Amino acid sequence: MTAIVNEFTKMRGLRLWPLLVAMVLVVFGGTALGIMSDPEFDPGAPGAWNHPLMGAAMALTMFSPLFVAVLASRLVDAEHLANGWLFSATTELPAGRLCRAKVVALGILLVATTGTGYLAVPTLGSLVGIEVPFPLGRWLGYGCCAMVIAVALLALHVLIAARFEDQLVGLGIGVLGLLIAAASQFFPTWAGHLLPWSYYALIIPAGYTADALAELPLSYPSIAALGCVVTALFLAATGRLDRKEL
Amino acid sequence: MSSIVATTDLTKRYGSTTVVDGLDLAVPEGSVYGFLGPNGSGKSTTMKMLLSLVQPTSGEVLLMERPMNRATRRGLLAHVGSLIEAPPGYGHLTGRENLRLAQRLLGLSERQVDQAVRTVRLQDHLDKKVRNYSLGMKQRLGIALALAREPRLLILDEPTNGLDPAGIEEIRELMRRLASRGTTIMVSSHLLGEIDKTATFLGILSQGRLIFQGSRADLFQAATPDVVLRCSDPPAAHRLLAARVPSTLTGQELHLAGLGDHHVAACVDTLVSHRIGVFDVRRREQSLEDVFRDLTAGGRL
Repeated sequence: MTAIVNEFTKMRGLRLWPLLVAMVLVVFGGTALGIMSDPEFDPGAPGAWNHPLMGAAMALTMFSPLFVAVLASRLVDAEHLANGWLFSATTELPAGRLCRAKVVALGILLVATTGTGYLAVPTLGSLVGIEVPFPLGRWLGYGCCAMVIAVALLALHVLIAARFEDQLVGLGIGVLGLLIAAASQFFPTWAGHLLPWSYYALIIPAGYTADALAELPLSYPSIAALGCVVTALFLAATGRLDRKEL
Repeated sequence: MSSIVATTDLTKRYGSTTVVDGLDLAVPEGSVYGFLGPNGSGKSTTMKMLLSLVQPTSGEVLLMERPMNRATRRGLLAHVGSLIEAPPGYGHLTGRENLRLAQRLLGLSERQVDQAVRTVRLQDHLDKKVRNYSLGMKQRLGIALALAREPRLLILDEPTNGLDPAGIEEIRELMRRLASRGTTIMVSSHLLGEIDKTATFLGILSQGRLIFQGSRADLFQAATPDVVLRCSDPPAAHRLLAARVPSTLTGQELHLAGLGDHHVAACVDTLVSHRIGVFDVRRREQSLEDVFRDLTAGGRL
């Protein structure tokens, strides 16, 4: 717990606020675009909520991979610069435990920020006068799945940033991940299970079929499996880091 | 005097490279133990093994007469402060915020932190960001972080690295104050002049082996300074003695290396018996640097 509180102290002065604000604005902007981009949008139509849902999902898919990479890089790089790994080890906080504390602290920030941005769906939908009942279950379902993927990516990026002192490595992987997430919409379903970034394609809440924007099923079992596998791998990797000599 | 740090046959190998070889350290409690050695001699690796940051390949570490292992590590390190490699400090945070991080992790009181800060005389700079500290201030912050837990043993790895003379004097003065309060200090350096002024016991490492351990007086006794001899015919004297003893002719002086007193007397006898007048026989004054260089160049004692 103390280690997690310390991570929030370390975040001061790292200028994360512009990034967090940008994340919220991007999701709001994406949601608005989802509504305005269709000239035939009808707030009274049964599938009206698909527009803001799809807009928010596109924004999260496009922005989260890079957002997560930058967050992880900023907080982990502070340890490289401050000789923090060695100092923490002498205070009985080995590298693995430190990484776990960083994922928890950044995860809280990530969920809070993304959740705030995701409120754009009911907010903007109500503002434009969508009349049909709000699909709360579907909205929550997509939100939770997107958070699981984002936190899984966060865990991966914390490990990459800890392993490679040159933060360009992690940021480069983040950019690559963004491209994979964007392109994965066109992957076959089985290929969407290959890489963490491609899981975004498995949870797109709405998409264009032959003639209209329709609701798409969310792949909950796949996301649950991703969460379990990444958690197990992360714990194994950080356990190894705990025993690594400095 | 009991040893606060004792190692038995401490060895560390990386692959086929032996970095530390069979160290039997004994750091007396209450001393300032100068841990000397050229770069790459294994000083930092040894200190990391004492702190359990690196696992020994073989041998044992005893801190405060208890073996260092996974079970005892936490309890032992609570009494040990350290500054290894570069001083720690998050540059984007103030000195005060950096201390707060350590305070939370170690469960320290405000009194302990405050006392550590006053000991290093950093109280007027706590609200500055560490990135704006001078190197000396960063070193002092690192030492404050090590001191905050009121350790019985302080392990400092080259604390004066990169400091200007004023900064070096500050650290030296700090070590003297800490030692006078009974803290055992183990300080490594390749700045021999600094160790000479501060340490009461010395350990000299060369290529991973401890080639000397003892007091400063013991070290000078163990080392044999050159004999400098002036005579009436230096070239003839050199020709006469070079066949029997290591001899070099420098200007008008003959330098005889590694001779005990009886050998010196024998050399004088030889010269006199060959009708070479002996004007002056004396031992060359050696600084710790001279002794250290001689010892580590040959790896001998």
